[in-house]
Order: sequence, then C-alpha cells, then structure tokens
Amino acid sequence: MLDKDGIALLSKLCTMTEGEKFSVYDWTDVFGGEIDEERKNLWRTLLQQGCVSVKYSDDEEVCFAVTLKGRNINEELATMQVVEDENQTVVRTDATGRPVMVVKDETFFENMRKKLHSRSIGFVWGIVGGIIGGIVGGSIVALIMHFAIH
Amino acid sequence: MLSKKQKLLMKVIYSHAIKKEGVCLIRPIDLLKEIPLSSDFRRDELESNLKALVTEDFFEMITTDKKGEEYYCFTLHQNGYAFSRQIAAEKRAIVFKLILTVAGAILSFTLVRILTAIAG
Repeated sequence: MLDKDGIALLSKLCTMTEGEKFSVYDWTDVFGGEIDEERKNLWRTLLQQGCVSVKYSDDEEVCFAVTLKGRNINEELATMQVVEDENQTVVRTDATGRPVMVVKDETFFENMRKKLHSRSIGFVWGIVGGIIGGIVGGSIVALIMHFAIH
Repeated sequence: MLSKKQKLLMKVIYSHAIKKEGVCLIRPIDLLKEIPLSSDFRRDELESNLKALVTEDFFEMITTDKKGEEYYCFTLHQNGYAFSRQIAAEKRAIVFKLILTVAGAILSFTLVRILTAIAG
C-alpha cells in the first residue's frame, strides 16, 4: 500500500511521462533534490508495487515508464486529497471534490486510547445491562412466585 | 551473418552495455561518434542497422528521450552477450584460414623444389 509520499511521487511521475512510454530523467528531477535512503525506499516501493518499470538506471539518471497499473492507481487516488493540518487529516473526495470520508492519520497511542475507551464503554454497558436484566428477571420471578403461592 | 557496419555498431553497443549488466543508455550521436570514420557510416543508416540487429535478437531497443533529446536504451539478449564469442570465433577462423594458406604455400614451394631437384 502506498503512503502519502508514495502517492505524491506516483502522481508526479505520471505527469512527467506519457502513457507507457519510457523517458530519461536525472534523479534530481524525479525527486526534486538529492537522492537519499528515504527516497530510494519510496522508489523501491513503486517498483515492487509494479507502478513503475525501469529499463536503465545509474547514479545520475534513470530511464523509466509508469505502467498501466501505476496510472490506474494514480487515477483511483486522484480523488484522494491530502490536507496538511496539525492532525494530518486525509480527506477522500468524490468526483466533484465534495468530501465523502475523513480518515484521521492517528498515532498508535491515540488508536489504543480510543480502543480502550470503546472497550470500557462496552464493559460498563454490559454490567449495567446485566444488573437491569437481573432486576427485571428477578422481579418477574418474584411476582410469579408471589401469585403462584397466594 | 552480420554486415561490417552492423558489427561495428554492435561492438560499440556491446562495449557500453557489458559494463552495466547488459543495459546501456546512449545518444545516437554518441553511437555514431564511436564508429570509425573509415567505415563511412551515415546517420540515415543507423536506424535500419539497429532494426536489423533487433530482428537478429541481439538486443532490445527502446527509443526514449531526455529533455527532448533522443536516446536509445539497449538491453542485451542472449545473442548480444554471445557477440564477443562470435567475433573471437570469426577471428580464429580467419587465423586458421591464414595458417592453412601459408602452410599450403610452403608445401607447394617445397614440393616444387623437390620435384625440381628430382628432375634436374
């Protein structure tokens, strides 16, 4: 699965090349700066996902094409809008640009807190339901026994 | 069988590609520059000779561009890798023919000398 940077790079590569035609670019043009380990990993991910096909590469330049799969993925993700704010909110929009779903890029601890919170709510409501059920059930049994005896 | 011009072209491509795991990226102008002037290789002959080599399955060729400038990307195939062996084998065959000719000449000369000695 591509992350935010992978999506951005794929989108850039799609605009840099036409169809499945191979083009030659300097690495600095591809990444908009010097190539580092993080960028190398990003490129490897695109290769592994089959989004990019490389015919030739050396330390300075690369001959590549965006595959049909890569273009399809890019088109699918074209409606995905990444909004940079303090919460790193990812907004999925429809063809008209109207937001249809908001997915928050939350940290691990935030996710855990939410999970625990939802579990504790479930636990409390389970106990409350049990008590109410017990009271109602007990009352019904008591009433039946009361009328049966008298 | 490759023509003389195809061999010259193949030599240049092979020498570049073999350094980079069988793949090379080269401009047509650079390709022509490395072909000896004595061979009278013209620019318009390049495309047809390259296509002939592709048909012979020496390599895969992709025409690409960098900032509007034309580039060729070659990927050697089995026949391409065997090119140096083919050249070496041809050289050996020529040397063998040469030796055979010289040996034949020496033998003929000796035979003539012997026959002359017997007759004279």
